[in-house]
Amino acid sequence: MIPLIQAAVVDKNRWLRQEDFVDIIAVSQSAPGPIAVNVAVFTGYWVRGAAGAVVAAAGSAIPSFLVILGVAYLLAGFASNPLVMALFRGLRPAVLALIATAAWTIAKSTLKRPFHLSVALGGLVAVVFLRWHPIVLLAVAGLAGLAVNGWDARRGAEPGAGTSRRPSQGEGA
Amino acid sequence: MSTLIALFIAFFKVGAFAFGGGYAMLPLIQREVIDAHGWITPHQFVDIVAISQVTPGPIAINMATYVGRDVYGFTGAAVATTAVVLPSVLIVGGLAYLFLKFRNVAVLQSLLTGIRPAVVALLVVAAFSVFKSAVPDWRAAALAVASLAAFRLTRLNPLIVLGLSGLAGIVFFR
Repeated sequence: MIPLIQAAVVDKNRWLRQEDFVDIIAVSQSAPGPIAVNVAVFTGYWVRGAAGAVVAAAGSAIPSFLVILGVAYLLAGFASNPLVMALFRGLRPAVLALIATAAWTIAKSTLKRPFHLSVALGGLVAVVFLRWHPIVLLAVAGLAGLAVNGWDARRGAEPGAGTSRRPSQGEGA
Repeated sequence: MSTLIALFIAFFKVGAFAFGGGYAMLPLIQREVIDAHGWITPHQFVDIVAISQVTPGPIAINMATYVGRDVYGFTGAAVATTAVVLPSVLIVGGLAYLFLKFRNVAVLQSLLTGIRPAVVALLVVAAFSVFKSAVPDWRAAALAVASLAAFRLTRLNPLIVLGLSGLAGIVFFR
């Protein structure tokens, strides 16, 4: 989806320069929520302030809203059709494979240090066995990240070591 | 009315706390719409993921629209979709304001050092619960393995793999 957004805001309308776009992607991937919506909000704010942010958010959400409404109405009529049911029974295993592939890709780009691995494994234990709510895990993990980077920075020769201004790209869809 | 408020709160939480975008948002959505409220079945959840793959737009918005409509018609769809987008407007709007002032994302990056691996853990959990509803027998298991091989080993477009798997479903399960 990112290339499409880039074509719209950098190449076509020239709202942003390429280097600004890289920063915006960095912030948008760092924030919670759908990345496409985040990029739209950031771009909208950049170009026209708060009103621009609201308009861009609406613009990024309305097309999928309408498409899914249409699909849902259609499906409601065909839900008990044996052909459609069989189609979805065939689709589900492929969806599982998609999710597993996403997990693998994100794991490969993320789990680079012992700290990352221990957060992932600890998180697994916390959610599966200790029944932590995912939001609690995310908050604790975020604080742990802050603590570890702060510690690294204090040990490192230069302030801010261990944090990079530009994040790695490539995760998320 | 209380259903609409519950829809709003559930999808606002998804928008506010689901880090990573795309499939990384699925665990939180699943937690809210299946585990916490039982608005849709695990089967429907997987089906919406499949539909999202063949329709444009962010998966979180697709989920919000579909689940909202299922629970409370057009109004439900509008409320849930607004709720899932609103945190982005507030959070990213705020970040954009700060970023334009300070041009520094180091603190965010530090937070993400911890959050990204946690998202991996949540995704593994999500994959497991999808496994339970997506693979009821050995034929479905064969389809899952074949799709996984296609995604990992070939450069086939995911849409083609999904299409083939759907066709196989029509052959196997009708």
